[in-house]
Amino acid sequence: MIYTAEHVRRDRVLQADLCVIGSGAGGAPVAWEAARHGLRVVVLEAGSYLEPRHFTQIEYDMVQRLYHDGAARTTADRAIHVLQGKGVGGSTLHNLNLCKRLPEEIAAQWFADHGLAPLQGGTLPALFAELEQLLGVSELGPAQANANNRVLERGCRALGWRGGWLRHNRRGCVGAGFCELGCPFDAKQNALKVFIAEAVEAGALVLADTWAERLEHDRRRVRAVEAAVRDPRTGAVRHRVRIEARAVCAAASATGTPALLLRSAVPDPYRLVGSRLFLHPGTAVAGIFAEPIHGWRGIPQSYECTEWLDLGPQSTRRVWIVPSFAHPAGAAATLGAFGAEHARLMRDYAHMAALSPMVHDLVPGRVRPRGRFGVAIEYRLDPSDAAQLRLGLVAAARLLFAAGARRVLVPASPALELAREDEIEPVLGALSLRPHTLDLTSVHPMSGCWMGDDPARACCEATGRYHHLDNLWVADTSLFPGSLGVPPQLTTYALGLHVGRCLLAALG
Amino acid sequence: MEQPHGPQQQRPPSSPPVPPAAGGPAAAAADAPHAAPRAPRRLSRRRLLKLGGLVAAAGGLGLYRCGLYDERLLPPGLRVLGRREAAIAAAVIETVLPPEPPPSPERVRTLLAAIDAYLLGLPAEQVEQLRWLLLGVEHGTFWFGARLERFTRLGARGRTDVLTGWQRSRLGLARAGLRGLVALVFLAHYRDAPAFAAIGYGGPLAPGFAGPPASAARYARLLAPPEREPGW
Repeated sequence: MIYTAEHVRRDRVLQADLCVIGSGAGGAPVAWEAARHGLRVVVLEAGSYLEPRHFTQIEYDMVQRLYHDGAARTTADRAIHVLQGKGVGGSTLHNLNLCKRLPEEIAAQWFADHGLAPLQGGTLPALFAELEQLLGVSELGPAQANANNRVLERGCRALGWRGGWLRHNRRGCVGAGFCELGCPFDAKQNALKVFIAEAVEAGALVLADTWAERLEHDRRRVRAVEAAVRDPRTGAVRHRVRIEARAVCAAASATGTPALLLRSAVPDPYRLVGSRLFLHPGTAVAGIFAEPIHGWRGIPQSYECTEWLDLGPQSTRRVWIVPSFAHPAGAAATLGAFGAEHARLMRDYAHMAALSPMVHDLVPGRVRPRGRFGVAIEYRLDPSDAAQLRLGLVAAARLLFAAGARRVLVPASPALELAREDEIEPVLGALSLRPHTLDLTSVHPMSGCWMGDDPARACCEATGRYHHLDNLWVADTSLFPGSLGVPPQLTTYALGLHVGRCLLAALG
Repeated sequence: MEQPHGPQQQRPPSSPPVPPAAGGPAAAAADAPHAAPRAPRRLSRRRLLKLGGLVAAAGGLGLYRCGLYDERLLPPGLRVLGRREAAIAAAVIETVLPPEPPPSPERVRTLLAAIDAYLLGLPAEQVEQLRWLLLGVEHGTFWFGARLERFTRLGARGRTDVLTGWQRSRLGLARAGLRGLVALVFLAHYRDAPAFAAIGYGGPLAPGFAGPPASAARYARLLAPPEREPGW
């Protein structure tokens, strides 16, 4: 069953075969795999249990409930917003359902650098095929594209740039367009619906509103997980829960997992945990069109531009461009204007299309714990990555003008307005990309506790087992040895399923 | 009451000698070999009045800068923001919202209450930073807008100039802070039909939709009954 803070009326100790920390794309398949094979599984989830009826389609209501720190999480210097999901189902509750396989170039790089034999050969393709079936992944097409996506498609066609339709995990989608606020129509084939529900039906016990605080260990094995049940409205700690399990799987995200391990002072002889964090930093560029766009309607991201994305080594094109329309509060925050200027910009809201260039970043930051439950993310945009961001800004502006935009807005402080295409190079070329100049956002934190064969160069084995504790496993985007360059959802599910099976084999 | 005083006489014998004060006739006189011990000055009535005047002026200035907030815009029952912070936030709301039509006092109160409720769920550290940010807006008017009065005492034009100063500041953190405030205000603002209508936004596709019945039943079954406690 799923229990919330309301159900926990006193401090408790629970015994289990497996404790999974986090119920998103990484943790859910682990719990599913273990529960349906008869193990006693406890899943801890920091966020609440939200059903489709809770998704009001209003930003104010949902942002607080679906995003860590009320979507106010940033890097330590406040320069980049880091949006990370919470709730039973994790970030799959609010993500936009993009399902791209791990690119072959990236996989080849990971194998060359870190070995990872158990993932080589046919393992990953088989996992992807199985998951695509389970998640109902299918390719979208022009019939499902909203006006914002058609703008990108039109821009690519006009410029002769490479682009294509994306693959999603949706069934019965009505095109409401509120994906990032949770789907009230239950069309998302998310981790809650596909994996956690079946795990619960097979006997798994899920504790929502419960934050793993510390792993108790003897430097060889984890003995227990210490967790706090918190009031979902105020964050006040109500009760404590201790889970004594034969194995523990941390799947609390690329920031949450390393922070938990560091807070627990797990053995880390080479000081690797948390020392590597990639973000896929991105921004948005808006175009104002003569015709109404109504970008809030329909599937938000169905088309991609890959003209500036080459994931091979030494690549000088590391930008992925997708539509990124936001609902009003998000759009207003991105534009950053206020008063009369805000009113002027938002008068064109219905005629606005937005694209987001996202950088496949090569220079990592780091993450460490902050306080009892928080994370501190230290990340500065490296000049080489900043140059890619500029490339992306220019490309997005060109796409918008090519698609017929009358003017283009760039979310600097204050917003920059380009009236003609020939203004792109001089204005954006001169734009400083120092911290806080642009509104930057990350929705794909990765690495942090990455896998590799050599314990001196990586934190976990290719099976997901932590190198320095026998019964600790990791199953989330922490495992990625580097930036992915594409949305991480499907790869995270695949690694979760893979780790779940390795864990099951180890537990016998 | 009178007693000889002076640094040399009050120090214990083992203390190292105090170096002479650098510069200033008073310091020189005090250290002069023939300086006679002086009796402490009595507080004359005239000096007392002067001192009282100074204290009153400082108090008045302090009250002017830091006290006497207009609380008419504050809703009851705030749980996170103090009265002063709420008054500053109200002034920020009035400045950030579109000026036409001007936000009604009721609207400002509604938004303040919504912001306060939102802050309740944020980590304490972020709330603390917001408090400092509001104080910075209130008292940083000279640095960010070349104004001598505090933010809440400025007119609409002055407030806009100050927030523009934050928006265009060379300090990256100031720009980020202003963005944070703006985001918070619009998060509270864009959640009802009038705000949606003003920008031509359609709002929720099916307000109040309770989810497809079949899946609603399945999700309800997953949740433990209220009386049940976690365990095997």
